Amino acid sequence: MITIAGNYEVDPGSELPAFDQPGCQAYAVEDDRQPDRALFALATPRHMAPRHDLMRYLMRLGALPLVRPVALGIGQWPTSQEEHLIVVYDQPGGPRLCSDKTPTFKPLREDELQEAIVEPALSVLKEFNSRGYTHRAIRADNVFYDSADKSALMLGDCVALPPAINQPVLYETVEGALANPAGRGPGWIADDLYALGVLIAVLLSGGKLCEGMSDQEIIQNKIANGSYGALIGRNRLSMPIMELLRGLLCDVTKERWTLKDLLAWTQGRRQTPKQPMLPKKGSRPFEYRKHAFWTAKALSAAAGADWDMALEISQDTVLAGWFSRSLGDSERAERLQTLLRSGLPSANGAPPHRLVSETLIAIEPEAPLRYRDLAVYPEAAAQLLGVEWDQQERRQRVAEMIRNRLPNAWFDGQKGGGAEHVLLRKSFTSMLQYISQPRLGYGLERVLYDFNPNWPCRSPLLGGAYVYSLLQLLPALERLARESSEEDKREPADHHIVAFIAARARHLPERVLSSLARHDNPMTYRLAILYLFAEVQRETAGEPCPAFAGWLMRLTGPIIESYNSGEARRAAAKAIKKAADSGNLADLAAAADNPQLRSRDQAGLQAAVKACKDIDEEIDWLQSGAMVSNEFVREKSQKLAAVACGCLSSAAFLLMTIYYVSA
Amino acid sequence: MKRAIPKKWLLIIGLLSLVFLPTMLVLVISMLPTLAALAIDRTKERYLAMGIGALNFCGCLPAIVILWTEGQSLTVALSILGDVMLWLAPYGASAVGWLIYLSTQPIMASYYTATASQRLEELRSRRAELIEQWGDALAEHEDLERPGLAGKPAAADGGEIVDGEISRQQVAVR
Repeated sequence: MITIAGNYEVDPGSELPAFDQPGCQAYAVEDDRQPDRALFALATPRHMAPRHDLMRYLMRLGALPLVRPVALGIGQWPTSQEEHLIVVYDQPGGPRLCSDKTPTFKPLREDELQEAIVEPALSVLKEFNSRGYTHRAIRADNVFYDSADKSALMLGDCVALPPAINQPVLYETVEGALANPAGRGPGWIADDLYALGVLIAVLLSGGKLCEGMSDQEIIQNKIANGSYGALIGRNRLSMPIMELLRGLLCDVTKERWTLKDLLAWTQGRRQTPKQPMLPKKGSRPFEYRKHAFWTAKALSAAAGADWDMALEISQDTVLAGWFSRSLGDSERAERLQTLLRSGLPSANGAPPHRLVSETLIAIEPEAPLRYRDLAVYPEAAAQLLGVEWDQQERRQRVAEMIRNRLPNAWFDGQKGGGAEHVLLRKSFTSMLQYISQPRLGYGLERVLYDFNPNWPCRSPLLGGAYVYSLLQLLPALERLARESSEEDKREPADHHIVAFIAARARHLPERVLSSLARHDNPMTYRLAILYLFAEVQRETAGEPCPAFAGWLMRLTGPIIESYNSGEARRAAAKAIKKAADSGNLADLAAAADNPQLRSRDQAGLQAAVKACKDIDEEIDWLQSGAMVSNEFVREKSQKLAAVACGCLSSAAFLLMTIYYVSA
Repeated sequence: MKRAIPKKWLLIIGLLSLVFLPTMLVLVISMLPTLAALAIDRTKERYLAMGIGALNFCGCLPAIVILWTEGQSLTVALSILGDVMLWLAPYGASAVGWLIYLSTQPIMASYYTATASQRLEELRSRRAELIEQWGDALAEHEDLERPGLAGKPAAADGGEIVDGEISRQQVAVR
């Protein structure tokens, strides 16, 4: 049994597949205080971060038609001995609407929709929107009946995984569908409203919407016919439902229904159904290998999914002409012409990926930023990096994308954005600075942890420990130090751990990080490691960690050796051992870096050097025979004789004085 | 460079010689061994002249006392100079001075010969102690590395090489 938050007992042997989420298995939970309470727990993947902020917010909220988390904690899985973040939820009242195994269900009637899904979803989204959160997991297989009588539905979990990561293309807007799942980001409430619109269409169809269509076909269909046209087609709907779906499935974000519109609809205020707003069609198609593209959006979607095509069309002189003559967009045509001129010939023969990416931005600025096989919204770039960290090639692509300043090119291409884009631009400037310094505490690792606030530390050194904040770091290292053999104890500061600390610690002095780059100076480097962990202990007000301090003590060899005198070395070693035994890392750092002892040692060395030189000179002098030379002996004997004569004459003078005075 | 006697001192001595002529006469003649020592001793410190001069002057004192007690006149001075016993005191005292001077030199030579090797051992031992205490930090000063003397690092003498460097504790003292 794994105990979470003191009273929730998770049974790792008792799986509850009915509540599984993609990538997260569900397990039975018992509440010690309320044994009758129906709960389940999701063990989140170790390499991803759940949505901590939203989770904490939802845990404070009262009842909502939502599968709501009630507790979270870290537990070690008995089978793998690995720790996972475990989220405990209240079980929904009824079963899941549909799943991969049973994708179809009995279609809902139009008159059931409002009570069954619209009103529950509206209450959840209103709550989310009041704090600026989004759900981003509204889809048919993440909807549950809220009771056994199956009268109403409730939304499923949205916190165990990064936002929108499991959303099928069907539930995403055209732009969202073009992005990699991990590169969609939290998005906006408008994205949730669109997904709600798709969910309603799916509910009406009984789960048979766009059956058998590939993702690319769904996207192209949505572009060509508009989302409403693609999903509903010629199906006949009642006017209120048509009004609802046309509002929610509107492809122009600004024109899409808001929560206010939806609320008005539930209150019976009817509006004129929104007319589909299709992208501008060219007078002639742009042709590529027998495919005809009539809109810039369709061309952008196809080229973004096929980089070879993107490479070719970016160097095609016809493209700018097509924009100018067929679409009548001279501004974009001019931009494409400029890019074409700057991209020919390509530098050092390499494919001009940067220019291709910029060309795609010019073709369709609202689409996500595409760079080779990456398609990401800039605000989700760090999240994508985290999710795909283990794929080195993709990881490097993200670094290339940042290095090529493509996010800035994307921001330049947007019409709106304002303050939000200013902040994001600043973030990318920081990312670029981190990437350009591939040393401890910087690099891609720093980007990963700085811009993903609750991302778990991916250091291989931590083994099975799940560490997502500084609070867990030292206890994990202490456990590791106790369990590892002496041979297994490597240097406890790798790129991940240092970047993790640098990103999470609020008061870490920059000089500590700069000293960590001093591999040429083992003493400075190792002192910096000690100060780094001392700062973590200070900032987290952590418990003493004697085992880890003992591990760190192994680093102090060169520091002790750097003292000149044996006496100072013994004193330093004694003080370091004492501090390590106490488990106080600040004391350990102070014992290793003792300026008084060091200055005494330096002064002593200077004195010893001088004494040694004097001794050497005297030895030379003695060995040259100067001490027994005639000159030296004569000088000394004359002096002695003078003293003896002086003494003798003084005595004689005294005696004579006494004699003459008495006479 | 030989120091010249200042003119004002010459003037004072000249005036005193005129006033105390008998005393000066006795002194000059009695102190001839000191003048001889001054002439012989070419060292800067003039230890020989000082030693002999001090004893010589003590030897002159009986004659000076007699001269002063019997009235300081040329007659008394000449009679004193004619008395062999009164000559003997200053010259004998000077001879004692010479004797002391001549006997100290062989004594001192023997003393230094005996102590030189002992001092050499003491210095070597002190140097070894310093090297032991300060190790290769001290040996890093190239001018202190003295073949044949203590303090030469010797990693081969059971020393263990750590990170390609000889640790301080392993600096052996020959």
